[in-house]
Amino acid sequence: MSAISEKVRVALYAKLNVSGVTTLATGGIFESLAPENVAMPYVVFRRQASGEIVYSMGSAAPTQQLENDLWLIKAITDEDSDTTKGPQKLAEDILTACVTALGSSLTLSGNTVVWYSRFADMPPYEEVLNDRTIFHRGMLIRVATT
Amino acid sequence: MATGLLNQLGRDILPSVFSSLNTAGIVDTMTIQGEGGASVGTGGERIKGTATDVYEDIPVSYEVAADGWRGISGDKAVSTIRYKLTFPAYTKFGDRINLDPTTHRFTVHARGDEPVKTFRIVAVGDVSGVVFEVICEREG
Repeated sequence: MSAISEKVRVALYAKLNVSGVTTLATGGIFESLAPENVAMPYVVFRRQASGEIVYSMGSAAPTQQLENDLWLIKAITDEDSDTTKGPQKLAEDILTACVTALGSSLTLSGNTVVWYSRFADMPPYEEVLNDRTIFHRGMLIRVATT
Repeated sequence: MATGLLNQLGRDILPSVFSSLNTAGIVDTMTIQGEGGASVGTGGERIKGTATDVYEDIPVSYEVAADGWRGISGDKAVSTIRYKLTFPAYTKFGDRINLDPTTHRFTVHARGDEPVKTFRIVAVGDVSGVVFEVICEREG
């Protein structure tokens, strides 16, 4: 993981860890994995795929010009998460809250974000854990920085 | 008094034996929780009903039935181990316990320093309508 993506990770966490999201994702916001003692629903995000790094070529060594990553943001719910709405609906509501919280701009110290937008939705999937079903809903956002 | 040996065992004798074992501190008690009023949302999703106590103060013993495992589910580290819970098929009031593995869950009551324990049903073994031997998973 690059130094820039580390900055992006911190900035995304700050964006997501707000009441608009955590009132729905009551378990919290976590990078890569949630801790074992946390109950669903929660949000997990991670750097999912790094794009090609763009360099400018001069007489000296190549100079990095652009770093372009896809970040995955997932809402994870199960059948125990809510008794007023289904886990699928809750996950979608959490994602909607994430989109609102992420906004349209991202600021990094020492770098400039030149592209910051939702790229695609993750194909939804389910898994069974013991006596209940877990629902995964997510989206990819593209963050390009110079 | 029920007629037939198995009926007598299931309805009269075993509940009394388990109750005595509980009084003697040999077995625990549990609540069997169910789910009331599940519904279907406007998008076709199943909305779980609220948890309700279906059977209370059921004497029960539990033991580890198999090795556990540790893995990742729901993007979370999870450890779980398999248990067998044994309890009478009838309550002390003579009511048949009708288990639904899809909606029921067991909560074994706290005992001394022992905390409350939740067991999730995997499969229900009905031994001649006398006792249940239920395979469960306990997480965490």
